[in-house]
Amino acid sequence: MRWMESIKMAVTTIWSNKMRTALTMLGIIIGISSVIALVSLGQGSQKKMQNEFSNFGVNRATLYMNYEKEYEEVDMYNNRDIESIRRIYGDQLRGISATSGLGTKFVSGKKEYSVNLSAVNETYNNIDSFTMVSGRFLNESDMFEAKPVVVMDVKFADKVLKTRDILGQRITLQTDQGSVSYVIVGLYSKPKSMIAFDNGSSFSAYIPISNLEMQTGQSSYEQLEISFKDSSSIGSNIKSINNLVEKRHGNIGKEMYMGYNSEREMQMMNKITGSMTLLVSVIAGISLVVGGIGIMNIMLVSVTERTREIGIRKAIGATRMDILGQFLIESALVSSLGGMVGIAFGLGLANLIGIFIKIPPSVSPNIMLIAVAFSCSLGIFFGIYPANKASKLNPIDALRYE
Amino acid sequence: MLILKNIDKIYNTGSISFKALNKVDLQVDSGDFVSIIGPSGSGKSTMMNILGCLDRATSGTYILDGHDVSEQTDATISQFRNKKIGFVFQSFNLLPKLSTLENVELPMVYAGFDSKSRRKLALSALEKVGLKGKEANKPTEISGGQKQRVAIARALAMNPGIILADEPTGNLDSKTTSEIMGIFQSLNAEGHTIVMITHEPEIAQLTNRVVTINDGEITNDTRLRPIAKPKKGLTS
Repeated sequence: MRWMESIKMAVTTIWSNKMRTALTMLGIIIGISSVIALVSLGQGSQKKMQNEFSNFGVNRATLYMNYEKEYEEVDMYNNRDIESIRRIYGDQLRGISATSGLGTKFVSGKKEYSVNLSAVNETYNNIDSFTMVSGRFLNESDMFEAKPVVVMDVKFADKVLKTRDILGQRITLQTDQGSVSYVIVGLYSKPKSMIAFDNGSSFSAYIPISNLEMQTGQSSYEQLEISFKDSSSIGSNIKSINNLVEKRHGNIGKEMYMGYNSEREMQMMNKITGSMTLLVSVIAGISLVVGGIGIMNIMLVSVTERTREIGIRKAIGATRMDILGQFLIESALVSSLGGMVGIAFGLGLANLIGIFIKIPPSVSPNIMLIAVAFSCSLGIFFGIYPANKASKLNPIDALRYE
Repeated sequence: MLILKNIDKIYNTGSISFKALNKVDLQVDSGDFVSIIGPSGSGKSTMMNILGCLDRATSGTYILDGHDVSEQTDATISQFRNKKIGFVFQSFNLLPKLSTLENVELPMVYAGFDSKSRRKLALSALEKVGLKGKEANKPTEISGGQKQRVAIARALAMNPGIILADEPTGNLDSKTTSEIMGIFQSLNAEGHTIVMITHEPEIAQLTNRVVTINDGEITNDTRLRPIAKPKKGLTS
């Protein structure tokens, strides 16, 4: 007998037992929908975190002075350190910059806005992730000549100055010591971040670190920012760079220099989502086995109920394989249907939960395919015993069955 | 042509064994219309089940169209039931969820016919038994006589060499009985070989040959009429 006939027959049987079929599918539906919901939410949160990390800057690391140790100015990172790091690790770096900050205020009429000046060098736009909206970032000649230039946040232009047409204009900012004045050379924008602090009245801007040095007379720093080209050996690179600095300052073994990168956080996140997924899979696996046993149970009942039908079919020429196929297709169809309904439920559930916990679920089509294939094979597996039982019925006994 | 040689059938139920057929020899020639008559428990149904390949003999040889049935695999025997034998049961044995047309189509489904030719053959079989217009009805929606006509149409569908009828009129009133017997007689006149079980002698009188069975043994074998010459060259 051909496949289409068997499938048609199975559909007819399933359709004439709607309630029973629905109840049979329940176990599969619950199992598959919980898997789909949790996997898609897990993938969604993983994606969100990865996005967050890449906004922070890809392959980014921070070297900083260990604040638990007592250190002097001579122990701190300086420009000669940066130069020797560049000499040795240059081909592995996308950028390296000392960073320092200067808090200033911009006064406009009666309103005051705080503008946090980050003093960096010309490679900093390779370290942090932001895009230039107009103008340019700091360049080598800004650094070399310690020019009083600034790259402003485009939000500052939009919200405070109400115009973006400000390139080349001078901006005056108040500091504790008095006022400083910069020429605006560029506007940047940064993707909105979940981690970064943003209250709408505080803005960041970048100035050449050489310019800050000129103002303060200080040329040693507590922090270096680095971006590596390759993500694989960031941890060990941080260590060897700090070893180099240790040697240069004669501080070997004093544990004065520390390093940080988001690799560990990311690994931690992956570990957490990984073990979450495992836990969910185990629970879902149990419910799928229970669902499968439910299918087997109903199929056994169905075989007993339809003994006479099986006898008639055999009497008019159905082979063992015909009967086996009929029942296997029926159970496979019930369970695949359950799988599909489960996927729909799971997606609905994931979207609903996603609204509340603010994580957009992300589902790969692969997962859905696997879910359908898995539930189908579940139906076949748990259908084998009842189907085999049906196919082995002796036609004359089956015909006599009342 | 059917040949039973030295057929024994023993039922073992626990410690008791019961011999339903005892050294039965029978030959049914093509085109014949044979009735098998006997009281209940005489073994006539057992013989019918063996003839129809629904059951296997304990010992002896059954040759169906030149094939020794005891040597065949399960799948081949299914094919015999499908192509060589048409069954008509006392209790009709129609599938209640299928329409009469679908019931008649069922053997052709297992034979692998495409749906178009299935429909065509099933419609002509239903027409032959006088059920034109009842194609869409479910078996529960038609009378007993009509159900038996559907069953006959189903038995005819694959154009089998032999039709086996197990008390086909047992559940029917006398008027319907004579109608059904009329159908069998005209099928025989067309050349179909028919073996029919009955326990009513007056029905047996309508056939060509009456075989009487008692306690598992053939006790009488009387020919009433010669084998009719087929009007059309239908079956062998």
